[in-house]
Amino acid sequence: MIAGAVLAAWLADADGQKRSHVAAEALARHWIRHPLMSEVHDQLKALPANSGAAAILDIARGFMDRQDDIALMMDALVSSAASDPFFNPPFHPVANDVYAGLLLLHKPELSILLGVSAVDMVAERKTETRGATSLIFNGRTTLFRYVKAGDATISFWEAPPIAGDFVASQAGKCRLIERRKIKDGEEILTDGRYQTFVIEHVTGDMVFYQATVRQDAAPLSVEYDSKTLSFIGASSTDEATSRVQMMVSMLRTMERDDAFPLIEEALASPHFYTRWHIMRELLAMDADAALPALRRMAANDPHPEVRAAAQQTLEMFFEDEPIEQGPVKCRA
Amino acid sequence: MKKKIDIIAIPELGTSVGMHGSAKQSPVLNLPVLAAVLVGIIIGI
Repeated sequence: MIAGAVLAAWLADADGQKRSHVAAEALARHWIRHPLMSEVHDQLKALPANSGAAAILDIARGFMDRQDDIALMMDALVSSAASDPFFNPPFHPVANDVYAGLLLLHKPELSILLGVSAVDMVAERKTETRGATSLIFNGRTTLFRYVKAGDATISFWEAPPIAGDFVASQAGKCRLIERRKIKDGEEILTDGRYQTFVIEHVTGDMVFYQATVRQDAAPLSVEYDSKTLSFIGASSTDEATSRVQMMVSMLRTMERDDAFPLIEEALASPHFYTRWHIMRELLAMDADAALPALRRMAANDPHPEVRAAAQQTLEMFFEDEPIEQGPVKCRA
Repeated sequence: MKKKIDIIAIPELGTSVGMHGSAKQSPVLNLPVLAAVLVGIIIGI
């Protein structure tokens, strides 16, 4: 952050602020029309429906191969930033304690990040005292291309594949596949449904592209404890359904019973954990109205734990309820 | 009067799945997971 007199002067200078904004806009307009970007957009748009992750990765590789164009673009960013400290690059910055980067492309099918992981950032993270840590299988296909590998040693891990019928009690353990050094220019492709890797050691800065493909993603990501190698937790890979779950809980807390029919539609979620989350909320809103769907879940839900939980709920709260015959009455 | 069940009393799944982006423990230096949170971001280009 730029603070002090320089910031105060810029904040007091409306024309200066406008110049900073116009420069960023001009650069964005130039590069969005440039073949580096426009061709990727066109290629993604032209992909047949349900193209596999491999087809999307080919597009990502084509983008990364255009090193001259990417170098030109980065030069333009550096030059603009050097001439104006308040220049705001038209790419979303992504950073944490081990790397900093710019999101060069972000589409529903594909994100491409250009990042730097400085050796001192990694060293600090490695040496600081921490609690328990996890190996995380993120459920997505991810391609790393290390422009500079930093003489890194990487360990590669595998776990039982994550699928829509995932059951925690059957998650087993993850296992080490190999540990080796990587070279400049090397690609690492991980299918996050069962593969991941860990940077064990580096002696130099790492510069890398990271392409993340959402096609064919697992419905959840899974954590294994790095010491015991046992399963310790799972979280959703689907941001939209997580938002739906939160909104449904909020509607129930707000006693918006009028939203029941809308919430009931969310029972069609492809994710087992979302279906049961929604059912619990419906039962808390209007148990009798939720009963037909609960019975259907107990009989037919594809996930064994959802069927079992639904059956247990029927036995706990609806033991005396007669089973409806014939078509289910419409609530509308 | 509607029958409402206390949500705390309703069974939960044996497989607990957290919200998107949540994790129980901090990751080892494991860059793929860092990218997993790159969603919902609008960029200028």
